[in-house]
Order: sequence, then structure tokens, then C-alpha cells
Amino acid sequence: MKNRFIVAALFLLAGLLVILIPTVLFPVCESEMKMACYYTKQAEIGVGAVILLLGIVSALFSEKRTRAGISIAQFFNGALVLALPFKLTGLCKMSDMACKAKTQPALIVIGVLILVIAGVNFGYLASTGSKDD
Amino acid sequence: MIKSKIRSILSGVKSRIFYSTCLVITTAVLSFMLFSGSIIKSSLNKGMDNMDRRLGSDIMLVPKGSREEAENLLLEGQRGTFYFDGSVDDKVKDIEGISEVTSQCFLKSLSADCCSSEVELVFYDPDTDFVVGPWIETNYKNSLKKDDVIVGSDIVTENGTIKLFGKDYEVVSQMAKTGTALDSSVYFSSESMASVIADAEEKNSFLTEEQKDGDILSSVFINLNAGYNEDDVIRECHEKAGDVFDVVYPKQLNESLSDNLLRITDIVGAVILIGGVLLFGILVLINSVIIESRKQEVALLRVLGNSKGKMAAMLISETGIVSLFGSLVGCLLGALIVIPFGRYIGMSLSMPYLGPDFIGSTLQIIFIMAIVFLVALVSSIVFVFHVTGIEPYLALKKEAE
Repeated sequence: MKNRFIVAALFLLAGLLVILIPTVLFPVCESEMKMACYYTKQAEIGVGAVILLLGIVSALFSEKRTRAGISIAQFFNGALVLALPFKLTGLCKMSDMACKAKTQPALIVIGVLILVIAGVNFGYLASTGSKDD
Repeated sequence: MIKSKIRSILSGVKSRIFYSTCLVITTAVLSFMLFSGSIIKSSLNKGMDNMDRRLGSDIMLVPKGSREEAENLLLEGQRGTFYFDGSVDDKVKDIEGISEVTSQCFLKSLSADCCSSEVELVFYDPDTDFVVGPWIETNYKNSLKKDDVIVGSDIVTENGTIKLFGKDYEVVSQMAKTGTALDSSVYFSSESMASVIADAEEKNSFLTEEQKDGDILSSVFINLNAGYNEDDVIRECHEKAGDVFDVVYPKQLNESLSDNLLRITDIVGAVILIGGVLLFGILVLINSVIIESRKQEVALLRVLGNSKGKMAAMLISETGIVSLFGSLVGCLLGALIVIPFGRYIGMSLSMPYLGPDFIGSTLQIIFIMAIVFLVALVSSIVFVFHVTGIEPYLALKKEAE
């Protein structure tokens, strides 16, 4: 029971941070032109919303298998958080641009934390048997 | 045998989960602090050493009114678009006391999609240069040809070429990392300047009248012969070239930065020291509670035939494993935050900052883990000897009472 709500709260918070990092906390470069970082911001808002919603959904299910499945999904969402600025949509190339100096490091931190939370939770659920809570 | 020992140590840790968690958190915070502090300190020092090498001239002449921009160029590598007449270097080169003169001209790439392709263009004279050369990583001895470029370490090239204003240029060499905006510069020979400006005009990039004119320079770097006074040489330069320039003294700039660095590293050191002492106190407190609460358990095990040494080893192993785990968590968390945010830290402090490489970070993690492990052992050793030294009979009698 405790694990269910703690992990759901962590995912919810992580999803919220993925949305807030490129928009409010460490915003991407401001420009009238739509640069690569603008599209990364839009994509991160979408991925963040999915992480947040899956966090809420995981609190609703007591079945461990379902929650383990959600953890796997969150693991890949975490990988997506990292892949967007590095590979898929990219950021500005100059290292002193706001998106490169602030947004990218913050996304690395939250992306890695999502991977760790999802991975550890999956391991925990897999190792504690199939009894639901 | 080893497996069963590890299992018994882990079950001991699990049975005191609250105190073990406190120990993990304390060692993690201590390691985080030590790791982050040491990485920031060493990166600032490395950035400063790099700057020492980058400030490759005794004096630097820049257009009048652009001294501040020029100082930013030296500190953070950010180039401005300031210009004076292209003949300034010729006018001053024969002045007595000047040993070397070289000039550079800066131009920002103003292509449409700013971020994906904007770079700073630097035109320099490879024949007289003594500023760019020391930064070229690969051995590139040939003189730079017209369509060749040298690029900063952050510039991504495609198949050894880079496209600027619609034209492909061959990348003949890449500069070493400086940790500043210099890393996103492209270096051309001065003879390419006219054609690059023509290409930029053709692509409708915004250029000022000065830039279109082409016969311009952004800075003149001068080295003096030993024994000559800087002020005398500058007076002579003013006489020959007119009152068109301001003077930047890279070495003075370096000294003031060194003072700043010293102040920053002092603050980092003080925070680490105070925090470290505080956390050591907390570690002593936690260890005293954990180990003292095990008096009876140790006494019972000793009655069953275990030696004092074996009991001490068991207690020390438990503390060691928990502190190593905490230390690893703290170091990884520190690496996760401090390494990616390196550029931002440097920008916030207005200091040159050159982050550690993978091997350097790994060695630092191992070093910090070893230190924290030793600190945890020192903080527990008195209690371990005290608990294992009590006569089993007395300890058990106390429990019975």
C-alpha cells in the first residue's frame, strides 16, 4: 500500500517537473523563430503529461503486475525524456544558449531519476511476489 | 562462506533499518558535498589554467569603447562585433619594443535558423598568429588554405566539412576544449574574409556597413620584447595609429580572476569543512546508538564462542557496507547534478569552467568513497572496541536486571 502511493506520488512529481523544466524552471531559448529547442519543449510537455497521468493511474491499481507494467512504461518514458534533447528533436548547438546550459542538464537529472525510480520499483515489485496490495 | 557472511551482514543492516537509513543519508550527504565541492573546485582551477594559456599576449588593442566586450571575449570567449580600421596592425608592427603582432576579425554567422547553425567566425592570419595556434589539437602545420577552416571543440562536422552561408568548407583541424564560447567558433584565414562576406550577403544575412566594407579588424594582439615598458609602447601606438583603440591587459585580467577564484575556492572549502565536521558529529551519534544497542547481542555471540576480533570485524563490516552504499549514492547524485550543470555554474560565477572527464570523475568517486569509508570507520571504532571489550557476563547480567 505504502509503496503504491509513494511511487505514484514520485511519478506524479517527476511528470510535473518534466513539464515545468522547459517551460518555467529552466525555460528554453526565447525567440520569435521556432528553433529546435522549441520543439523539444513541446515534446517534453507531452511526455511529462503521460508520466504524470501514469503516476495517477498506478495509484488506482492494487495489482502488482499492473504496477510493474506501468513502471516499465515509465522507464521508457524516462528514456524518452533524455532522448528528446539529445537525439530526437535536439537543442541549440551553442553551449552558452539557455536551452543547452540550463534546460538540458535539468532534463538529464529528472530523466535519470525517472529511470532509477521506475527500475527500482519494477525490481521491488518483481521480487516481492505476486501478492497484491 | 563469503556469501553467507554477506547475507548475515545484510540481515544485521535490515534489522536496524531506521538507523541504517540515517547512516546512509548522512554518508550520502557528506559524499555529495565532498564530490560536488571538489569537482567544482578542480573544474574552476582547470578553467583558470586554460585561461592562462589562452591569454596569449601582453597587450591587446581593441576598438575604442569596446573594452568591456573584449574582456568578455577573454573571460568567457563571447565575441562581440566591434571593429576598427584594417590597417591598425600594419601601423603598429614596426614600433620598437614590439616582438610579435597578430590580428583577428570576428563575425557572427547570422543564418536563418539561428541555433542549429549559428557559430562565431574568426578570421586570423596564420602567418603571424600566436593566439590560435596553441589551441589546435591535431598537428596541423600547413598554412590554412582559402576554403579550409579550423573549428572549436563543440562544432559538429559532417564528413569533415561544415556548411556556412550555403558553402561547404573543409575542416582541417579541431581546437582543444576551452570550456567557453570559443568552443563554438570557426576559424578562417584572413584571406577568406572577402568571399565569406560575399556569401553572407548573397544569403541575405544581416551585415553592417562596416562588415560589408571588409577592411576591418576586431583586435590586435601584441607581445613585447623583454625590458620594454608597456605604457611607452602604447603611447607610441597611439601616435602611429591615432586615438582609435582601447587597451586590454590580459595578464591583469588574469590576476583579478585568480583573486576571485581564490575567494570562491575558500568559500567552497569552508562549507565543506563546516559541513564535514557537523556530519562527522552526526555519524558518531548514529554509530553510538547502533553499536551500543547491540551490547547484549555481541555478548551472546561471544558466549557462543566467537572471538572479540570476529565481533569487531562484524560490526565494522556492517558500518563499512552501509557507509560505502551511502557514499556511492551521494557521489552519483553529485555527478548527476554537478557535471551536466557545469557550463551553467561557470556562467553564473562568470569564471572559466572546464568540467572533468569520465576517468577523472570515476577516480574522484573512488577517492571520495574511500575517504567517507575511513571517516565512517573512525566514527565507529571507539564504540566497537567498547562493546566488544565488555565482559559477556556483565553485559548479559545488565540485560537480565
